[in-house]
Amino acid sequence: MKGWRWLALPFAVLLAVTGWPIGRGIWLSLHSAPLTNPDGRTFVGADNYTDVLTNRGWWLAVATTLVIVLVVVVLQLLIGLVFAVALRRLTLLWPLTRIIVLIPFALLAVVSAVVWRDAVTTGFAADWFRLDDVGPFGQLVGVTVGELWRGTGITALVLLAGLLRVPSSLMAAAIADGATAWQRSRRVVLPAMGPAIAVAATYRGLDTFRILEGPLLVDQPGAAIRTAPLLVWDTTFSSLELGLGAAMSMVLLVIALLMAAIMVPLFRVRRVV
Amino acid sequence: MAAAALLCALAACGSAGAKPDATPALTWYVGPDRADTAALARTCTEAAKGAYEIKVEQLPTDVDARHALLVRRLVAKDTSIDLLSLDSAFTAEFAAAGYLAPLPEELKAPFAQDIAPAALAAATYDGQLAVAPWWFDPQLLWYRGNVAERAGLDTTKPISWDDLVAGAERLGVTIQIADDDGSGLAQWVNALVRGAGGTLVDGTGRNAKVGLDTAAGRAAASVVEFYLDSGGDGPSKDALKKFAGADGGFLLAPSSVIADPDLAAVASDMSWTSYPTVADTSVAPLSGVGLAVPLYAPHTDLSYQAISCLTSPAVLTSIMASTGHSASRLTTYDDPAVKRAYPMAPVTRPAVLSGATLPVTPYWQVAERALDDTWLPLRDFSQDTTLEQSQKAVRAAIQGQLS
Repeated sequence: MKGWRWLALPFAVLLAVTGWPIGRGIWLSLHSAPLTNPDGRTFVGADNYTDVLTNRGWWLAVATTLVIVLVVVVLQLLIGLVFAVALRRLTLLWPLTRIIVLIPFALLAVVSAVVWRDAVTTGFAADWFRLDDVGPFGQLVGVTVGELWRGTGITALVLLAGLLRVPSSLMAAAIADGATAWQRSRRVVLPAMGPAIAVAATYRGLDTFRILEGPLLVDQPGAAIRTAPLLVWDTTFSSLELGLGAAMSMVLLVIALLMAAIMVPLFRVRRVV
Repeated sequence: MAAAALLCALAACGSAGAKPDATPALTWYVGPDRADTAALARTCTEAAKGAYEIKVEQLPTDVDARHALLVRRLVAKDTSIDLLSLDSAFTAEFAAAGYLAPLPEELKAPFAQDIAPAALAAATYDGQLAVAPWWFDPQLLWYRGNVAERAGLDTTKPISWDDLVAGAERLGVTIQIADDDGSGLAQWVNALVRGAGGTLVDGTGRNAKVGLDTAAGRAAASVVEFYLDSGGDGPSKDALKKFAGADGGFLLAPSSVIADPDLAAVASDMSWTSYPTVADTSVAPLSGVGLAVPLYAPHTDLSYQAISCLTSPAVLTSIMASTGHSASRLTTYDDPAVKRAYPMAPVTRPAVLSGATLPVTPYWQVAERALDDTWLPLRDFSQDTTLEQSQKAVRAAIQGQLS
């Protein structure tokens, strides 16, 4: 238990920097707090939560967000895996190529959102697929593709790290045992890559869950489809209802925790090596 | 040597702010209006004879962007705004939030003198004058050439929406509704509801009454539906360009559009009459600007001196004569220069007295957003469903709930 003495300070700092804002958020979420009307601030208990949890529009937005997360993460894992395999074989200038795949991720999310919105409205995608006015939904699809494009490179690198963990001696042994390519990838490569896949899926899943820039960019009055983080933004920074916005953030936080609680065990592949 | 240069730079930097004879610069944030604010700033800078110098900064054109920018800066106690052209629709909210410096008692009477009652009400919150009313434009019905006559409309009497829409449809010309900054739909709906004898939002608190599901709300919605069914676009940003285009006939827009470059080609051919009626009387949308000093402005006294200059008869006269904005101070209408250069006065003056301002409540912005969100896109508008949804959404927004 001697180690605790050394851990106590970092632990306290960690607790302070996460606990303080979350605690304040919870406290705020129990109030009706219009930013521009300080006199209207009252303690309302769980009213904000009841409002959020019983609201149809909110759950629609949550469902939209989860669909986006599912589609984006699955595609990122698949495309990322293909990239990772290719990158492993690519020995020429390998440090450079591995940095190049990270470039989309180095762009600000809002920049990639603008680029991809323009791609479907006036740019190359509109040109190639002869898109006429794609409407708000088409634009939302455009910025979602942008999110996919942005995160694929980093997913590929995480998966590549997993791929490099496969011991070549084990591979050689499998070949000597007469395992087919399918058996080799299922029984040897996949288990060794397990932790990397879990990291990539959880990280990309939680990161995509807070998708804001793209939906915010293409939002317009009367839009039928909105994402949950966008509703939080709207409530907090446009309607300036801080209490309600805080309650929505807390609900999102709980959903994110649930996602992590499901994804981490789901991807915990049994170690066979 | 590097250290010396650094010291020198620091010293120069320190003395620049403290120079005793420097003229304090007042930064004036202006909205997307058509007044030549740069020229007005020069006029008042010259009149101040070195007491201050006004610099103009432009606020965003879009009403939501403007609102967001101002709220962020004011809530952060920004000291870089000395003077503010404040939308009349924001006044109640900013006054309730405590963002504005209280008007000095001795200035309240001069600022409120001869101000149109609606402009005064929009500049007042909780019984206190919050800003100096500046200009307040009513919307008019503009038309090109003899199109009104050909549509069988008698412009000497108030024209009803039904007659207007039917007449325009018969002639095959459009009725455009101007929306300069994104608040056009709300202004239109508000004026229609008021014109039908109702009130869109009644009250200043969380429990304000919303009047969309009343008889007046339904009357307003049926005008909207009739207009949309005839092929109307609804309020739009390019209304002026379309009005000047081939099939342009009628335009609903504030008095200041007369000076708009988009209408330059047709300006000489434009006539005007009072805003169309829903019931018996013409209730035109009114919107304007008041001059305010933020609470954390560093030179409050000078800012008020500048406001006194900007609301002086000479400046108000020049605004009306050169840009078509309608001064809040009704005595300005009597000035000979205004009478010569502002021919809309016989229509705008009664319109300012009978028109409808946006509801004066700190919750107007959220109400407006909920209204826009339920009515737009207008091609999906239906009197039966939209009105009910909108009533719920606006009410929830004012109560601070999700809709």
